[in-house]
Amino acid sequence: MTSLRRMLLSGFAIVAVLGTVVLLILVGLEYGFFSSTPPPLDATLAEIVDHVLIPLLVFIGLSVIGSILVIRAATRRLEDVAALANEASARGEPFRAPLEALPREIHPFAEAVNRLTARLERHARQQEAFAADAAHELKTPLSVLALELDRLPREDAAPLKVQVQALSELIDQLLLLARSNNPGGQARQVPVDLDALGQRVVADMAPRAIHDGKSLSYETAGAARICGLEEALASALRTLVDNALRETPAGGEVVVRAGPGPQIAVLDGGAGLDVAALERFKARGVRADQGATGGAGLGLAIADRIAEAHEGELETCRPQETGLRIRFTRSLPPQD
Amino acid sequence: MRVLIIEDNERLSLLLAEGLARRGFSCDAAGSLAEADDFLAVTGYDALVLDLGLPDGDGVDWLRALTADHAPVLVLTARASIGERVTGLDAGADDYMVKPADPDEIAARLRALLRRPGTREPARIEVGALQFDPAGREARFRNTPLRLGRREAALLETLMRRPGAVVPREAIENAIYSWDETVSANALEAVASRLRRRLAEAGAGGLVHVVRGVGYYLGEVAE
Repeated sequence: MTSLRRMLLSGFAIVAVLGTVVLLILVGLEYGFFSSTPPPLDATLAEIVDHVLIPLLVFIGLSVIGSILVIRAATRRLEDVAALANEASARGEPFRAPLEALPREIHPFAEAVNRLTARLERHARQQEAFAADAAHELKTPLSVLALELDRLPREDAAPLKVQVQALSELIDQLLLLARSNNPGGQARQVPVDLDALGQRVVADMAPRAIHDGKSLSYETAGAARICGLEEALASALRTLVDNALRETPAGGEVVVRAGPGPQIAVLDGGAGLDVAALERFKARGVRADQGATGGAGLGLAIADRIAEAHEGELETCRPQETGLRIRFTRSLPPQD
Repeated sequence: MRVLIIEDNERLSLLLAEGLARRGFSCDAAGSLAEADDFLAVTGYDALVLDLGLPDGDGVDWLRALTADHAPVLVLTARASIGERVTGLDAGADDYMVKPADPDEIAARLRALLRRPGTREPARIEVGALQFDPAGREARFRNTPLRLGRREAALLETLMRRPGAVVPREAIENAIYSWDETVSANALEAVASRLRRRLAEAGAGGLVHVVRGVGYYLGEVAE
């Protein structure tokens, strides 16, 4: 779509050209320019300039200036409202376009968008409520299962307990995803320091990595703060670390690096996913190693959706390094 | 140790009672808050295990209404978010676990709760075959004394107080240096490597791990 200003200017240009032609013809007829005895050319031209060209230029010039001013005023109001919408989105709050601040002609459009937003919010709310119900309902039988397993001999129960734990984590992740998609919900979006987040996840997961003969470490490259649901982001990051540890052979190292700016990367000692493979995993939710132990296959796909709900994207660090990172498009201003 | 389990799912309640019984607890099970009140009116318990969503009310409200001198309460619930944990702990829960929880961990946390109030700190910290005597600043591995310097001993103590967790660097530095000491960037590394050497000499090698960028971690110690 072209801009309103350009549409208006081309409209005026057409009016100017057509008006000039029509007026020229009328003036010509009036002065008998097309008759058998035309008046002298000089006098005719002077008449045309005085009575056609000058009034027309004055009229069209003023109209153009007036219209541009009107359009600029309307655009400014739209820009103000857009800025409000962006601020609300950055704070993770719901937003309705304030009709009183907009020209009446825009109202039907703004109302339609507001209705759509309301519907999306209702949908997100229902999804969160459903996920919360489902998580609650699924966890009770899972706890029964965990306790039933406790009656088995320890060595029989251990691998099954790992599976129960993985299933339980998956349920939590799905609930966190639903919460991230519902910014107006109970779980408030707060400033999240990617540095602190990375340190926390590394501290949580290092004991297991060490147990498996791998090392997990953390480094910072000046990370930003973003606005979001900390638990959900931690869960997404944990999935990436879990994935990286599985891809890394014993003796290898996984590094979590926060920054620079609003991004956090998990670098592994494996082969690293290329873009096409990553897209496939995100889409189908298959597990990177296709192995049979631990972890649930949906992990990466859910981590990607959580990143997306925070206006971020899960991408590969190849070709510079091997690993995955989440890059956010929006960050909060640095703290003093 | 007597424990009252307040949980409306009968199967879960039965299995949990069985599991805790195998670990040396004796349990009663209440299916509702009213039933729990009845039990509590008749006998005293050393600890309560409380589910939050019960047929006759919310466990959080019930917890708030309990008298101040109640037995320690371990909340065991499907509500997993940080906000819900905070609400539970604020309402007076002494610990909070999310379903499905491992019976070993439930038992361990219950024992920790029973140790917590009033009891004096144990004279010695023990992690596997490692022992540390905070009063005498003496560490032993399999009963052989380790000859540790002041800082190495402080590092070992800090790590032994939080077994299984990565202890952040700042916390360690606060524990082993006084506030007016200037600590050079790799001073802690030097202390850790001396501690590792002493441990290795005593046959306890490979225990102190560094988690680069975060802190130190004491690995699993053999019995």
